[in-house]
Amino acid sequence: MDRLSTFVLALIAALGVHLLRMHASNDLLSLWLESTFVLAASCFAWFRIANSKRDFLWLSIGSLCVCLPFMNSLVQVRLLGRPGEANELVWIAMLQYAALWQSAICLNSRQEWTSFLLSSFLMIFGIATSDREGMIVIVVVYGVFAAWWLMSRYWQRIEKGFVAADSVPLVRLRIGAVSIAVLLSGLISAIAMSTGSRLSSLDGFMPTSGGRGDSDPAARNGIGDGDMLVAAKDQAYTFGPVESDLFLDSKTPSLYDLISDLYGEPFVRREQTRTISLDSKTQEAKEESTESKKSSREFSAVRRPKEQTIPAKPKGTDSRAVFHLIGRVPQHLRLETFDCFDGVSWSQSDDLLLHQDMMPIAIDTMQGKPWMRLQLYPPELVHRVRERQTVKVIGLKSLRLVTPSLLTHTYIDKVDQPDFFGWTMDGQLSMPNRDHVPQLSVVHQMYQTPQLHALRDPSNPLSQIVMTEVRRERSPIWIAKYLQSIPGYSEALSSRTREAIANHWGHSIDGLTDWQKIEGVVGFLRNNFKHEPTATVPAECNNVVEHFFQRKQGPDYLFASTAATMIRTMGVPSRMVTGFYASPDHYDLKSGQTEVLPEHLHTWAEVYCHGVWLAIEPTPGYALPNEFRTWNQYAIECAWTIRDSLYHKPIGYLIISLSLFALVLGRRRIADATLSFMVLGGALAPAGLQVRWIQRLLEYRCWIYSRKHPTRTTIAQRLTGQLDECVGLIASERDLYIQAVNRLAYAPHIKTISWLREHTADLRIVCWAITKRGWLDLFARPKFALRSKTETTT
Amino acid sequence: MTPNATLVAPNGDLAIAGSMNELSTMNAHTMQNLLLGLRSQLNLVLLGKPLVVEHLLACVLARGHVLFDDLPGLGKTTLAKALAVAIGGKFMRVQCTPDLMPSDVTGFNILNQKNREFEFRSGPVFSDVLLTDEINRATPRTQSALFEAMAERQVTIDGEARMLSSTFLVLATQNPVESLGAYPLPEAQLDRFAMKLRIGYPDRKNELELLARSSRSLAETSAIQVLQAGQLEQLQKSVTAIAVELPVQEYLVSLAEATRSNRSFLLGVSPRGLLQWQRVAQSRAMLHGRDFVTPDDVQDVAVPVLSVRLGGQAGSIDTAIDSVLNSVPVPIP
Repeated sequence: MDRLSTFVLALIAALGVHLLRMHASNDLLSLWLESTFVLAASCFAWFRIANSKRDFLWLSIGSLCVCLPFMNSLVQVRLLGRPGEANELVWIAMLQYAALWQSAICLNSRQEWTSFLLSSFLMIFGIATSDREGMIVIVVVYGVFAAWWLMSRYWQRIEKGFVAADSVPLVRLRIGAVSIAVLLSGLISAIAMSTGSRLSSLDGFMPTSGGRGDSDPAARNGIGDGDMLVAAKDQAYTFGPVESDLFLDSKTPSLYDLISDLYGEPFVRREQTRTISLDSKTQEAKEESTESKKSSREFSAVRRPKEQTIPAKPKGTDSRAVFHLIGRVPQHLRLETFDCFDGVSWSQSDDLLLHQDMMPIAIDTMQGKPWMRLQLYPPELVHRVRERQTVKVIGLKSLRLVTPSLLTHTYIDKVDQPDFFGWTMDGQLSMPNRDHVPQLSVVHQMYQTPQLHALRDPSNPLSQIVMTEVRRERSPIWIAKYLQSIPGYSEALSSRTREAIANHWGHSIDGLTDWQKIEGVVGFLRNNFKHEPTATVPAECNNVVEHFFQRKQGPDYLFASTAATMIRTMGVPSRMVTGFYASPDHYDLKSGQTEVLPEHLHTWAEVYCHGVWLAIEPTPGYALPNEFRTWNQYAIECAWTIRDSLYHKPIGYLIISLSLFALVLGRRRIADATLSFMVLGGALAPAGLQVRWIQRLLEYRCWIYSRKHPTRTTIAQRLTGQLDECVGLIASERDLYIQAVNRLAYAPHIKTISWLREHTADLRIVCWAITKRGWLDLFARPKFALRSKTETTT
Repeated sequence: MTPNATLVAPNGDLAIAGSMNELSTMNAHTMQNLLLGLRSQLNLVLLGKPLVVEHLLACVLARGHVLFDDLPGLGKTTLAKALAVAIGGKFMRVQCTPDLMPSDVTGFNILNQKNREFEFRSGPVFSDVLLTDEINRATPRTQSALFEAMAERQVTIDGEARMLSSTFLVLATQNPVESLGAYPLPEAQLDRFAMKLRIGYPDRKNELELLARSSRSLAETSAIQVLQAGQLEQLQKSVTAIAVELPVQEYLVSLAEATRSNRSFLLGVSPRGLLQWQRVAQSRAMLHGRDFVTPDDVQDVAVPVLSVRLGGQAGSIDTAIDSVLNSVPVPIP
């Protein structure tokens, strides 16, 4: 019965922590798998442990369960590139599984207490970090159970000495108390129900918005939401009725302003030698033309370092956000793409007619909303389930709309004319009939997630992405532009690329598919280079890629340029992309939105693969683009990742795991040896003090090895058993020691001191023999014991 | 008592005892030798029961009286006689029957026809070791006369108080089997005994040796005197020198409280009983050569001391005492 109650307690605590993890997790599937496995293992252990002798098996299953969150997190971060779970949650999860396992296999009272303490700690942690209803319910239930458990333990302990006294129940008082309580509660509930719940809310403690004369414009979850939901014009946080407000004007900054603020102005090289011989008029014209080139069709990778300027505040809002996003984060949102790179600047060609290969925009009415179908993608490469997000443009003046990389549908409130939307020349969604997207527009989008497992499988024909001659003929004409490398540098770059891939994967590049090579490039850049926004390229540099390789650090556009160029040398079309990165750090839990600020302007690259532009992220510190895997694929890739990590650092892992194993197995002996070491100083102390220390050592030894003495055993009785273990002691020395301990405990002080002085030398011999025992045991044969024998020495 | 008493050491060597001046204080070494001699003599007589001998000696040193609750023929009389010889005292024996008069125990005044005066004829109580057989057969009046002698070490006959020996010791016996025609001792009177001992049957080896010994000679094994006159008093006085520190006293008091709250006993330990318990523990410590009392001593004498005074079912006394001992933690500083 006791074991069951301890197990139930641990289950409740584990449930609480599980709830905590569920709320904070973005990958519920692996979480449920993990916890179901551990739960099943614990239940199995609970049923079988009492009769089983194979302690080693239980220990190993237990350590597997405890390491599971860590391995899961490792796989998530390394393999999938997700941000994974917060470290603290991983550790709490490990503690949770350890507590559950411990309660399942506990066999004696001390282990039950340990498990109780662990469960209580988990509950306290849970209630301290979460105030959801579910957690409060769980903690209350746990509290009741824990109180009952403690009471039962207390009763067990005092059972022996307890004599039931005769008690006379005072019935009158009890009935009286109960009836008063019932009357009072009836009265209170009658009062509460009659006046309605409004009056029962406490004045001044809760925000209200109406009926009281004071209202909080930011009130949410109150009796009515605040003013701003009604007006919804000035506050940036609402997505409500503003949907119909399409025609507000604003002085919001354009994309170019943002780029300049964030990345700095590009250097304009004056071609002095040519303009000198021209007359002034032509000179001016030249200058103008360089001026006009400054519209945002070119992106120079050589820039001045960022200056601290205060960005212009958009009218009507006090938020600096560029836009707000409701949807999955982290998310890469594309705004501009560039195809030509000359070693210094990326630019967009004029004759790039991507938009001509797009499907015509048609209306797909879904759930009563006029969704515009924009693009379709090959089903082998994308997951068929579409995800949805909503973007509210606040502080951006641009013709283009921010889109995710595999956009399929979009709509803006009730707009049902397909020619409202259009494509720019490089294939980006825009509003062609307007100057720019109006402020506070709410754009709904649907997109798909790439499914890249096929690209990693060498036996799959899809895994060949490189543009061979045959494939090039079947591809659109503009593909060639995305394959051009820096003139004169491509040989060196391709050898660098091969080195980079080999460096990342740890072995030669022969067995890798094309996508794995791309991953190798991305991984190489992520792991070996440092993201340093201020480490800009000097003005006179001609080849930023080479410079980046030398410097090994730089802003994100250098990463993107280098990645795109390296991939081009492999023969895969790629381009550089500017846009915004919606970061999970700015996710507001209460409103469910993510703020995207001007500093989230980001640059990455895209790769062309069987008709789809797939995003890649070479900058460290930013999450890899989301990818879909089925369970099977996940399992296969997990196995490969774990195998690779172990394969590359086998000795390190082996040493660590072996030493941890030895530490866990030999914990008792190590504790014993440490304590024995600590009493060495007693050799310098007077004999009485040394004997006292040695007594403490012997007591701790009993505690370490879980030897319980019944309360009636005296010192002499306990010591006779313990001293037998110490080899090299003859009987008279043992008796001497026992007499010394008895004297110290029960004899008058003065006589004891004189007696001790007489027998100091002999006592020291005995003390040394007892101390030595703690170290001799360290190297004896290991025993895998969960259950320690409780010796009762009489 | 012979002037030159010889002391028999356990290994059989003879040693000459100390001087005849008993008034000089004995040092610890001499005391230990004497005690060792006493023990060895009694162990010679009662084979294979060292614990009984030790408890008996502890009781003797504590000036307490012993109740033997045992089957007949186990050697109680032999033991009592040997004890009397060893301590150098006079041995008397009373067989209690329902028609035993108090004056048969204490003594009486008899009219001397020649002098026309009353002469006092002393009873068996005027001895050093008195063996009272089947005390539960004597009438309550006789029992009370005996108890008065035990408690006060004096008897009053016709208004005249006469002192008994300073080391007067009563060894009473009762048969646990026959209870017909018996007057069981009331608990209040049982409290006057320091301990209740049970000899029990000897084990096989000792029984064989007993037979072997008896087959060889007609005479019973007898002890040799160990103690001189007055030495027993000195030994009894030196028991008070054994130190009882506060932890042990607290242990005793906790045990007493535990017996009082335990349901299996009719009575708890009274303060008189507790004092005797302490005294017996002190003598046991002295027998072991220590000058301080440890909880081991207290636990060791617990069963004899408690079983005489705690009423309750006869069969369950031992388990009850065990549970009391289990429930009180030993003071470990």
